[in-house]
Amino acid sequence: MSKTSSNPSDTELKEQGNKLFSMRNYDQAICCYTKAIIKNPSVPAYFTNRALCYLKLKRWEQTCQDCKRALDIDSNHVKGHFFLGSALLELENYDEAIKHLQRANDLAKEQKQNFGDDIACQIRLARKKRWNVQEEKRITQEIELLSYLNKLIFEDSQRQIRKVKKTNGTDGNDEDSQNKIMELELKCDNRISELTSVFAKVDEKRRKRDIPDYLCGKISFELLREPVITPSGITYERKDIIEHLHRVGHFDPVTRVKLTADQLIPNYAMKEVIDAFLQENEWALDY
Amino acid sequence: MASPSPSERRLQKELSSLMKDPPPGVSVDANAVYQHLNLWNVHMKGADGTLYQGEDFQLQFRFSSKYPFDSPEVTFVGDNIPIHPHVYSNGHICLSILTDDWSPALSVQSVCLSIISMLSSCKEKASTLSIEKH
Repeated sequence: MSKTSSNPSDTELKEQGNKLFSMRNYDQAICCYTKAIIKNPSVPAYFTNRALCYLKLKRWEQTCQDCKRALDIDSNHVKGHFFLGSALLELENYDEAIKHLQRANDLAKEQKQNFGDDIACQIRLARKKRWNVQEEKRITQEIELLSYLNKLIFEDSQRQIRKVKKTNGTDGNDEDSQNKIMELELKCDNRISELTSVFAKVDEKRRKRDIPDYLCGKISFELLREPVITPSGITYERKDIIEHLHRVGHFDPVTRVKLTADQLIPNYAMKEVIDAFLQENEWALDY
Repeated sequence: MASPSPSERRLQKELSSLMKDPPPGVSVDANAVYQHLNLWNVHMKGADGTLYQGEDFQLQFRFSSKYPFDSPEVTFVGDNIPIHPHVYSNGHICLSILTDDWSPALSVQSVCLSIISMLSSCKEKASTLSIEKH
């Protein structure tokens, strides 16, 4: 079966597209993938390859379209979910982005495809960005609520003062009314300062956010991502302890007991603790 | 703005924890450090009840881009270099954790504590001049 270059098959067109892609010639690559799709519209990889070109060219909407078509053919396509999530992240549609990236991450594990930290990194980025937006909204709402409550307290006090002025018929100029009015004004001031201090505490908590040391690696001093435990019982970030063994020496940095890379064991319990912490403290996400 | 390297991130964390909770007699000029994160000047007071009581010293920490896998270069600088068997008159400190026994789990804080305890355990002020340099 011989195909001439004047009439290449869909796989040949894909190969050609891949070559152009690796030379960063994205526009030309898109043309090849498009031709391949016309010849054979049932291969999801043609769509995801073209989607990746669009992603590189920052054409987010078109990335989404191609990923969705790939997912129509195969709903378990890892790259379909991955690139769709990445484009949605750029379009600031964080909820949907996280959904697809999470799906891509799960599917990659199931299908034993290795994307390194790429998908997980995008998930962290999306969660952090979503959290930033939510936090900004919360702060605006709090400020609005505070000023609204302040206004209510003040108006209520004014209303009661007017009532006092009416009841004694002296427009509040007798001693009894004067005392009552002073009392009401004092009460109003106290309420407003109490309210302000309650809100200030929320704000204070926000500023004092800190990652506890026991969740951090003993080498990077940062939140652990892939914690491993040594025979001495000390937990390190995998890449840091590997670098230490490679560069500094074959010993446990804290206990100085002899240590080799094959003795490192994943610390899943610690990983669960960190995931739970991040669930509650998305501000601590780093990418 | 380029994102900070792992070594810069770690130094930033160490700086804020050293400022929040410094070992006794130790302080760091944070403003100067922010200018050059890889070069710290740390002030150290001679501990009470030791031969160095009432003296003020200056330590200089120099970090390579491979910190904490490389040890920091730590020397006494300024006009008051402690007279101590393990400190040369040029400020060089003879301390194993700064060379062969360095571990990335050590920190500026733990190095400061080691130097304080090295000074504090000294029974007699003797200079290194009589000791053969190596």
